[in-house]
Amino acid sequence: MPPRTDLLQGSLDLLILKSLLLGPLHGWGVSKRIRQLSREVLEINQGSLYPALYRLEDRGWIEAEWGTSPEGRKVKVYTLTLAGRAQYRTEQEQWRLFAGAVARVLAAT
Amino acid sequence: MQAEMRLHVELETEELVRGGMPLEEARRQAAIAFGGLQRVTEDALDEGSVRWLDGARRDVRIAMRALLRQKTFAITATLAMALAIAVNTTMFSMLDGMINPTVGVREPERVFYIQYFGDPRHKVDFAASQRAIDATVGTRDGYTGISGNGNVSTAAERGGHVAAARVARVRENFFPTLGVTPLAGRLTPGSDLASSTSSIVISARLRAALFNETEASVGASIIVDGETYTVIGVVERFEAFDPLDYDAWTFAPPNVVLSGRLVRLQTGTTLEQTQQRLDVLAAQLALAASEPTKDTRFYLKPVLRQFHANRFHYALIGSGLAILLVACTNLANLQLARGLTRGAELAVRSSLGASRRQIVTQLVLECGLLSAVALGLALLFAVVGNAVLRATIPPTVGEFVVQPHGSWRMVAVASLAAVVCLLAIGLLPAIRVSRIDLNALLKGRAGTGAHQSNRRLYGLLVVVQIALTLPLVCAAALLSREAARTADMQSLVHDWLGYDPTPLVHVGLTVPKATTPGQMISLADKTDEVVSRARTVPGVVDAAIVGIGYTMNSALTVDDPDGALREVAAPIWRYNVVSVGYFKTFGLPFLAGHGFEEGRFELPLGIVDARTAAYLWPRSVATGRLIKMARAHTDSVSFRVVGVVGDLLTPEARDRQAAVSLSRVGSVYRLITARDSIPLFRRPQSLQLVVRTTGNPAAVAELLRQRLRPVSASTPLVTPYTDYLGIPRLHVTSRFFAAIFTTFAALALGLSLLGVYAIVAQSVIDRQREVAVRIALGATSKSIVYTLIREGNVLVLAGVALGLFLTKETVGWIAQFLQEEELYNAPFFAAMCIALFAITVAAALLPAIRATRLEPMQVLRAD
Repeated sequence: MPPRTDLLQGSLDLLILKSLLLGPLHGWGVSKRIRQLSREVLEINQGSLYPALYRLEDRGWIEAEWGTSPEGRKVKVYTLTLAGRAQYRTEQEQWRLFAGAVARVLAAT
Repeated sequence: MQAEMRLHVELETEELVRGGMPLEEARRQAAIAFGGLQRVTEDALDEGSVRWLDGARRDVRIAMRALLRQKTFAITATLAMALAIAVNTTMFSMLDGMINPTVGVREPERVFYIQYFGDPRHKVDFAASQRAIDATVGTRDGYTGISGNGNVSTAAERGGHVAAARVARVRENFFPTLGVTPLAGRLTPGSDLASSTSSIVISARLRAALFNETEASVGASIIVDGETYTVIGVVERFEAFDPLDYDAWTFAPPNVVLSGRLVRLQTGTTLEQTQQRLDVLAAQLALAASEPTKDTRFYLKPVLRQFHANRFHYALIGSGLAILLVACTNLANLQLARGLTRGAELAVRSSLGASRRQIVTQLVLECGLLSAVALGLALLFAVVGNAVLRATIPPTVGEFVVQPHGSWRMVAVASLAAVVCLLAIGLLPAIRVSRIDLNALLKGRAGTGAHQSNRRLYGLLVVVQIALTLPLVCAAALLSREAARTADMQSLVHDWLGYDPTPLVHVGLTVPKATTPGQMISLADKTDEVVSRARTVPGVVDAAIVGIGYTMNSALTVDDPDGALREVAAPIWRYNVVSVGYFKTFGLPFLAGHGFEEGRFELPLGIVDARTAAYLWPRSVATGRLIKMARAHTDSVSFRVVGVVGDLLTPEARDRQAAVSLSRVGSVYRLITARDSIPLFRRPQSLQLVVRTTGNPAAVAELLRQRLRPVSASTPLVTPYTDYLGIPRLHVTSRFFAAIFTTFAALALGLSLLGVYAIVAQSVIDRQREVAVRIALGATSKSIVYTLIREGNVLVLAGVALGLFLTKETVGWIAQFLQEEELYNAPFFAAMCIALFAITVAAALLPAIRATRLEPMQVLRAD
């Protein structure tokens, strides 16, 4: 198992938006999908996940709805909204700028 | 939210179990990974849109917990608020019933009387004006007519039932124009004149008096004023709407001019437009009669009885508000005391990071919860209060009080009162409590007297409570005394009437209407006929006819022993025209001369009361003197005074009556002479007979009615004289008002005493270390009690002083139910002040005495 890394400040929203871009998920699903997609590198602190989900919902980027899981459990499912998609593109762009800049700094000799 | 998070932990656990971890360990690991459920929830709440809602829910929960910890406070506060709100709401629903009365008429505010204003000497033709109005206003707006008979009741009878009824004559289109819905039958008569003039519409009240519940009234015949009518319909009688404030309505033939002209403005017509048309009409009529146009006018007067709040209504409103204020002050005090004792709790919250806003919100929320419960209870109390008031309002209480009615406005007022409570007892003390200085708080708890500034604030509130309570207590005591006085016949006889009405009976007789114009009958003949019949009834001592004569020019003329005539300015408008048995009937003693003697006299004779005699002939005896109820030069008949009559008043009561009388001339009586006659009119008139019985007036009523029936055009209305004077009504009314104000006073006093008790109790808690030290040092119980209540006594005295001032300013509001001198009864008010002071000090003594039983060692050790 690779060592898990804490999320960089400000990246959580982007990751949640990305994971929901792939399809609706419940809270645990979001956390699991991020872990899977990062190949177990990124570990979301649950104490940050739910406040973030509520914050994104409050801003209208994601929508939540109570539904039933295939196992018959009552689950709250989050879906990306149109505004969320736009936000994802903006944040993705900012992240690329940031990551590129950091990479350039580190690549300097 | 927590469900969602629990699910997260469950799914994580399952995932770990799938990875080969034992269930218990998986659960533990999942929980550790998630962190504290509560903390994550709160963090999430801080981020999301549900934050406010969940936060509010949490605040409410905390507030409820805080209230449940202090159940006594919560219950006391809720009940006090509920009672105060309910009193205000009930008083409002009663006033609302006056301002927005139910009158059973479509748009009553659009109905007006058209009143003619012009110099009576002018020649404007009244009948022509009616036709002209009909032709102009009537074509656009609804126009109809009514003519009442003032407040005179006539006899309505059917079979054995006889009832007094106010009767009006109306046009055929009267009810449709007003838009009245019948309770039974129809409201327009047949088209032919005969059936129209023999039709009558009766009120539900008269129907109940004349018919049994099972009998059909529509189609039945009843006799009103000696005429037979067929009932065609039944309507509700509405006292607030003049045209419907009758018991029966007959239909006048079209050629009869009715004095009350009613106009209903059609939708789209304004009052100004109709007034303008009437102005033009008035000018035309004046020109046609060659009169100046400026002196002739028609005015539009609203028919819906306008409610004018009089001083008594201020008393009702003021009392309600006073109770609300006392309750609020009281609760604000309690809340303040409670907030300060909770200082430690609030300080802990504050040090844990609660902002001042959060602390204020919590305290206000606690009061909000109390106010909400109190509002619910208050509405319940108000509904019950309205029902009780409706059941107990005497039907004859007049225009002072009407039956309360519930409406959305009642709920609005109750809510407003609840908001006032919330602001007064929630927000203000909360802000003050939130300002507390933790150091002062700690010092206060150390018992060094740092609570003094808070006690000053409590004190101020106590002063307000006592000041508001005193006027209510005084009003209740004054009205209760008055109610007791009206129940005591002896006191009424000696203080007010001057004769004993209990053995007397009043009989209303009817003189028939004229058969030929200008017809007259002799009053002396009619008197002989009526009185001689009445005297033959067993149990009758004597009987007398009583009529009214009017003076001219507010002056009368007397002669002096030297024969000189003297005019005396006297604002006296009427005198009594009586038959021989009058003084014996009323049981009045003679102070000089004698009464009238049996027989017919050509020369008119008179009798005056002692006050009149002393005023008109201060230097000579009154008997033998001449008196004319007009100026000297007029041709009015003079009559010779044969006696001076006394009364059963006490000298003080006589002085009192003289003091408030407009004129220094009292009662003047003239014997009916052979020249007196009764002119007969188109409608029957009434004749008043007073009968003295040997004891029980009710026993002779039926016999009198039968014996006098042949000499009256309709069945005689026989009423016990006490009822005729309205004494039972007066008693019921004054007892009712006394009950209302006693309730107010009891509420205000109870709340004030509770306030004083609570404050002294709080003071004892604040100062218990000081008290303990004093006890340990050997202070006596007496000195401890004295120290504790000394401060309070000054406050109560200040409250009483302020209250006395308020009483002086407001006691006039209930003056119409009191004798005038009661308003200046200084010993009475002083006694009230002393009583209030004593009761309040007694309330303060209880916790003070309890303080003397403190165990010093325990208190000091606890500190």
